[in-house]
Amino acid sequence: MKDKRKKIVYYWENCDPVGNEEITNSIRNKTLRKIEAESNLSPLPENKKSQKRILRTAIISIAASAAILVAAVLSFNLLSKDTSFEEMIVSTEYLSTTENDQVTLVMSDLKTIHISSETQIAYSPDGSFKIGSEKPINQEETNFSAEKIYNRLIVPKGKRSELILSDGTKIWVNSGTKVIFPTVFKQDKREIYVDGEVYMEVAHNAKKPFYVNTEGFDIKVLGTAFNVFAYKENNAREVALVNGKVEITDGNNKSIEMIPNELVLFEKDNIIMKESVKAEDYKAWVNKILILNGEKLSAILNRLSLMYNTKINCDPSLSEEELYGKFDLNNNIEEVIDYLKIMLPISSYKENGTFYLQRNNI
Amino acid sequence: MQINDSQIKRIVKGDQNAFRLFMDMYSKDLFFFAQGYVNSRETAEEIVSDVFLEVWHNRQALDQIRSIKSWLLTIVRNRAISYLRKTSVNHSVISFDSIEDFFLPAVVSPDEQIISKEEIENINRAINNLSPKCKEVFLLAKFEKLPYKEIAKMLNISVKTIDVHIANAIQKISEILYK
Repeated sequence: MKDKRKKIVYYWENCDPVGNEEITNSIRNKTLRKIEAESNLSPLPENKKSQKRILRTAIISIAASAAILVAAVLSFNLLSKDTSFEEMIVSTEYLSTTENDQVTLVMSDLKTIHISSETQIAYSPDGSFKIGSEKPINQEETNFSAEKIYNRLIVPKGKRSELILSDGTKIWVNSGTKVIFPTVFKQDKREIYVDGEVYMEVAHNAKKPFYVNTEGFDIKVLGTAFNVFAYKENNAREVALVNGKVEITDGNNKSIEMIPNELVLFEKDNIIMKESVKAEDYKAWVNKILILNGEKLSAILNRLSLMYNTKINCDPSLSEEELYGKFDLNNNIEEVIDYLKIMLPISSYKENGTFYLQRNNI
Repeated sequence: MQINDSQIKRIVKGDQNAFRLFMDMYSKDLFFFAQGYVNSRETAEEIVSDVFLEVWHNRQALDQIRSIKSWLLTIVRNRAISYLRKTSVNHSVISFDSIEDFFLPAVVSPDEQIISKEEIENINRAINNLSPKCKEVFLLAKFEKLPYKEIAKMLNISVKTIDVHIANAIQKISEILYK
């Protein structure tokens, strides 16, 4: 009798339907898409504007750049317009870069186009775009203004891409990176979001400052070339300025100006230091070269595993080793690892698709 | 799992991250309830995501809801039943008080030493042969862990009736486990 009761209690308390992750994910993504579709289609009713969370980056960039010039009314407009941008960022998290292994362009209506690696995507001032040498593609006619149409470029690990924005700004997009950008920029500013690594040559336009928003900091640009290394999943982030001038505002509202050949390092969303470097080295990946100036092996392996879409594990005792030299990224990963073996007293083996690096026994 | 006040406050302010956690916390429970009515995974997911969308629209009132879970389940129920009405061949047959059937999800036993696979399968079968109303109550009480009072309010029946339904279900279960 007691046993029977025990079983019933056990049933009542512990036996549940198996819910799978898939259902949770699917429902969440469906909802986010609906929210996003709505925020694109209908501007928010007036009374809701003030309730919406304000895009942090927008506040910062205004505070940092033009507090004197920008009237309160204008900043209010800017802020409320940016909400859909932020929601776009949130929902992009679910457009996983691992979902498929192709470079993907997601248009505002969530239609996707797959693009082969290293093919250039070029937008015209009217918002249409060309992939490689194919004929231009127009975005579907919509009833909202062009400057509210955001597209997203998702570059998976092991792939790269090139993007020309409607203002002529050129972006080299490295592996495992997402870029969100409007097909046509607003009247008063140009704004994009980056999670990952890009090298940018921003078209000069003093009247329309260019903002690069990342997870940890924002960059205000006037016409300049610089490299941004800001992966959401990696707390060590950096900006290297090749030429021009940029102003960076971090997550604590701390601002810093950069001049050419400076490197600013971040830990998460905090600026930690600025140093003089040869900034060209930081964008060498654009030309398929990785230049090592004393970076730690762990950081280098992290980059290689992104660029080659492969897992590389190393003996913890090796991770602090500093390396100097150059990698030719045209080589395959085996060749790169062979080169590492010349630089360090290590041996390697591959198991289940993962490379393991070990210190040689003396 | 209960959502806390600070999370609710963040959602009220429009924080999508907090809202995502909110969805993840409730989606499975709401899904099983919706599926009970519509018996289709696709439709159930659609209903639940529509409910979440509605919550997002009305997020400013979210901190005034007393029991979030009952509230969500009630909206799911309303939506599921109106979906059945819309798609049913002989309209208006389906009322809020009498649904044609209710589908319970299959349950598993985490420890087959205590309740074997065979026993749990027999229970699943037996429970699914109960009346639709009984199954509806059973799901809310056992899987959603809703207090009888809340169930009574939602289904517009008395606590006494709920007692009878649950006792009936327990009876079936114990017959299997007592064999």
